[in-house]
Amino acid sequence: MPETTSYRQSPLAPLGLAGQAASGLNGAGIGVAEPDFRVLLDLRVELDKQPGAQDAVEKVLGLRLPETANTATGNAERHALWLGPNEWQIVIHDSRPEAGREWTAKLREALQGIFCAVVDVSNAQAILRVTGPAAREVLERAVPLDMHAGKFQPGEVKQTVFGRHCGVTLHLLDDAPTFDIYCRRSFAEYVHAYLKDCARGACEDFAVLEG
Amino acid sequence: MAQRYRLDKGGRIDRDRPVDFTFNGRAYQGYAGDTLGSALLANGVHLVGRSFKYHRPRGIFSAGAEEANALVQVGEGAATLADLKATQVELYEGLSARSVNCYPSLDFDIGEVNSLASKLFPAGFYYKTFMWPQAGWPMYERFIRKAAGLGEAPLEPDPDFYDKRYAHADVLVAGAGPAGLAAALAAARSGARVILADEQHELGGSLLSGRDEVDGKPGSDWAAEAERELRANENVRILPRSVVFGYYDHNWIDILENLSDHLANKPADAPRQRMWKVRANQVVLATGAIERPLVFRDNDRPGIMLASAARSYVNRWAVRPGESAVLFTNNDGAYAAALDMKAAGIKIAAAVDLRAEAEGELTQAARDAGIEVLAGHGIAATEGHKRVRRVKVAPLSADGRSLAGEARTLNCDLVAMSGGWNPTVHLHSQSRGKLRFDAELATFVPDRAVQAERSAGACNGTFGLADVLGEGFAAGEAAAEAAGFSVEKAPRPQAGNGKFLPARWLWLTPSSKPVGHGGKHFVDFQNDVTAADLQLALREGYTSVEHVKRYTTTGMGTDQGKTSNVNALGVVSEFRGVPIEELGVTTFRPPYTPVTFGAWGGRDVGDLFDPIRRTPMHSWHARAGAEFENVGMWKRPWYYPKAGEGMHEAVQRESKAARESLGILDATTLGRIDIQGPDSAEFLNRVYTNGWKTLKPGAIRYGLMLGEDGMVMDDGVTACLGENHYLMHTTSGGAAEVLAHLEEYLQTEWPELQVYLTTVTEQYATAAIAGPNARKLLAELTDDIDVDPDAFPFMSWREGTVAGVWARVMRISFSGDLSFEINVEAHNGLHLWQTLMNAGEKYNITPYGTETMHVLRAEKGFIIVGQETDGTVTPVDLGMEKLCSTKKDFIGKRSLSRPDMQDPNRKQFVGLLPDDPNEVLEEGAQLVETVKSQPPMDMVGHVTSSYMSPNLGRGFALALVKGGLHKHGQKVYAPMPGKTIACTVTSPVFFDPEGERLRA
Repeated sequence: MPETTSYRQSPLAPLGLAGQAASGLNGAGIGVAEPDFRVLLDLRVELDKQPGAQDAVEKVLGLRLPETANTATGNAERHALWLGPNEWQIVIHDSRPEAGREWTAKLREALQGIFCAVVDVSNAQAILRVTGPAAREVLERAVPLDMHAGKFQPGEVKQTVFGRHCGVTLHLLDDAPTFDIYCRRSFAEYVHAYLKDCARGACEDFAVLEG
Repeated sequence: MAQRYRLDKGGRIDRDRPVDFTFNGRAYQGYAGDTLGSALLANGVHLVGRSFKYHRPRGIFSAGAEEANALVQVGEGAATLADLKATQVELYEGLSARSVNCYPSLDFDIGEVNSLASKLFPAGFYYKTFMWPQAGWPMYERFIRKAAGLGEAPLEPDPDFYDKRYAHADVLVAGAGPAGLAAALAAARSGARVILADEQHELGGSLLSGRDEVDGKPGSDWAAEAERELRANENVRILPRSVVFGYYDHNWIDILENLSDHLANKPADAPRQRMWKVRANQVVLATGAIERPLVFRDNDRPGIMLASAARSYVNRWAVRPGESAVLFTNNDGAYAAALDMKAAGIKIAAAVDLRAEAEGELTQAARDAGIEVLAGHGIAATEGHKRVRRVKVAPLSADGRSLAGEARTLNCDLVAMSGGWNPTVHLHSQSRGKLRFDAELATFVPDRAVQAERSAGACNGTFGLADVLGEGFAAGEAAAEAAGFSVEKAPRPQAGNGKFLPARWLWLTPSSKPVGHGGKHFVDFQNDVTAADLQLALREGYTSVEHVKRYTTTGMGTDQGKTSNVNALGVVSEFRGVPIEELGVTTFRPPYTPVTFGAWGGRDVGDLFDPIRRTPMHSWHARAGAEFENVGMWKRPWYYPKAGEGMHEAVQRESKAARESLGILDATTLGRIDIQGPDSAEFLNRVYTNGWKTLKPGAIRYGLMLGEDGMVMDDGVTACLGENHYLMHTTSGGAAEVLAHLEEYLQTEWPELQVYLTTVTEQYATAAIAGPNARKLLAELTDDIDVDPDAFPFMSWREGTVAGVWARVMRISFSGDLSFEINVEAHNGLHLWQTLMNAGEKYNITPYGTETMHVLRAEKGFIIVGQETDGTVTPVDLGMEKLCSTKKDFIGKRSLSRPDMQDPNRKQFVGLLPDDPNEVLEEGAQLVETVKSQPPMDMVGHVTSSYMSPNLGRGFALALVKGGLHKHGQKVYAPMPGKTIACTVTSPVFFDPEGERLRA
């Protein structure tokens, strides 16, 4: 029996956002969308002790892991987000149901003989895409980071606490600015509700955008 | 006549915008730009409150945050705010305020009898009177609270919302008076990111109340220009109506911004207040100074106020605070108030000056203006009940400790007093900066800074305006430089540089009788603490200032002693004959001024109080009418009541169904940790009590995890997924703690082990199906997993397709019945659940919650970590000694060999059967072997879990009992109110002791 995509429910699906989606910001300061299903892999490896690792990763993914803290490498289809000196999150735009397991297997095979861990976390995390001119202003209410345009620039990745007790990874994609917020799946509704309340505190309208 | 005391011209008020308001139910009018205080004074209202203890009539005594008397309740209903200072409340149309500490009315206050009986209410009164009996406290407290009431908190939920946000700055400037504006200008010009916060709605601080010129123009114009320049700079954030109230470690600053309290029409969609949490690279404190009152007999009557306040009312708000004023001062600076009052048409009856030689620039100017200066004099007494009417003025002896001549009476309705100035060192002190006593100023000034902060202007003990501005610019430049910006030094503005000195420091003005023997010499107005109270405290042996403060309550309350602390020290110093600098100073703590609870809470209230975690199947549970239980932050179905069912009925039904046919449990919340690397098995060997090296791919093993102390900290099953690859399960609530524990060992104790840990708790959704029909249901939904018992034995897992999606099925059991835990990727969790529910209908598939899960596992004697264990229970206590390997080391092993751990009389895990099968013991009930007629009795253990089991047909319990492993068959008793429940100690396994069902 082939796997079908129709069974799947995204972390924010219970909120029924698709039904509320506006056609754009329409003057709102901030818009939130849930992107399509993606492959998310957690990769652990000591690059300095495993010299073959970078090449092996590049062979499979076509990108090299960023070695500068809090940065990302990649292109529109694939990213590697720096999470720690020996930890990355690989993001692949592949929404097929089996894609997470497939990419995990491919990467494990390429890294055969290298001490590392590749773990499929595609279902473990939620992604909220936040965009709009007030995005920084609104996020400053949720995270203690310095969100000033000079201090958090496109291509940077930061991990912090969001609201109370919720760990998040922020990846800034562009100057719009557009942030991808990664959080644990079960915290997605909290992050969404919190963002909405932050927008209210900033006196900004909050739009729901197509995913 | 409306606003009878308003001057014809001048003031920073908008005469085109009259504002109507009420005070204690009476209608008044003021102008936009007024505070409630200035508007009341414009209407001749001086009596605004009653004092805390003696209910003495009190008036507006200041023009700012230091106000101790004029506390008001503003607004009605749910949004009412208590204990605001009338001197800080901005006037708005329709404002309604009332006094907080009077009954039945301000004019006639019944509590004033306290004043007549004040001999009965000495300092330390509560400590002395309400000591005994202890049981009387609730009654005493009710009486004290009612009598001492300071405002009322609303009973309704807060209708407003509050914003909370973070911000970062290169330079944060607290205070926008001359020093703060100068510092902000200097820092902003360097390109630094600047936050400038001021508690008032208008920037300028003291420049708004004085008549000083800066660069040849009025100081307020200079402030307005500075503000324009700052507003035009995109790197500057100006926060008016914002109190910097807290200064914590690492330049972490709290600011409370008021957004709508000053508006007549409060917007519904905007927050009321905003809490700023600022991380500043550098801080400039420019918080100004607060004038000190003088301590003299009956110095608290309405109409007696700080000289600087009288000057502010005249200059800033165009209000005459009286018709005929007496200036009472110990310094030259206060004469500015007398001069400005005289210029505004207020008669100056005399200037009473404690200095024997009253000299100085302003003193001379006052003499030149025709003001009579009584040098070497003091006010020996005041008269007037609800407003000061007269003062008695007498010459002082050379040492200032007694009167030295006949008193003379001066008629007046205003006394403007000045006892010098206290730099507002609160934030510097909060930041752990040291203070130093400055003998010339007779007050504490900032000494060494501990954090990246610097004080500028009056808060630094600098009082000449030119010096203040210069220090502000210098501080701003230094801060910007320290933050990494290059600075071009700006020319300093020109201004006068008069200081308030010379002064004479006499802490207590004598009266005709010794203190305590006539009249009251108030030191702390808000807490009704007099010089006599301080003397009493010293007499009773409370000599340390911290003790004096606590014994007399001086410096406490909503004003936190802004005007009383230094005077109290001065008076104590005189009584004890010890210099002030040797007495020390009490601690300044945040907040500088009171902060609403709403602002503290911010948006972390209601549904956002804490994250609520839901499983992918949550919507199904909610539709099925489940009651939920909080497990950590998770919402787990507790039980699923059908129509007419309570919890008991639902749990009995669910428990029976899971044993007789088929039950289904959402087990998604279990913690899961992916373990990879060549040393994974060795790692498991070290963190679990049992051995792992023989576990083969496809197999599963139960593990018990101990802390270093040998106590059980977690348990769960771990599956071997492949070579050097494992999946560990933890308890739902313990997942994060266990991962942190494991990571700590891996990173700090065993860095040589090649192991990576990754949390995958949320990657999977899990439905556990349990009961005799579980295998049949699974078989129907998979065609690539062989469910035959021989092919798929107990404690193994298989991967395949279930309900059309990828699945990993584990044959494990927490219910004690035939059971499969079906793990799918979390996105498919709801699909799996719905498919199982539909396909299971023919087996009467029954969803069960955590309560039934507890009953089922307890029937089997399975422990729950945190219920059967409490951090003091070892595997031996649980009868699980066999799980502790003797062939290897593991965390906690050595602790288990301590003699105390081997004690056969430790509390051990047993089952209990009440003699009466209908009895259900209370969880937590204490157990005894010998029942006495009343406590104390010798307790031998306690009940950890207790349920009514439909499968056993009786109540049963699990318990920890001293030596219990060897007491099976013996009796224990649970003495309860009204009855004693007799029980028999048994094995904790009540159901299917041979485990035939789970291996079926």
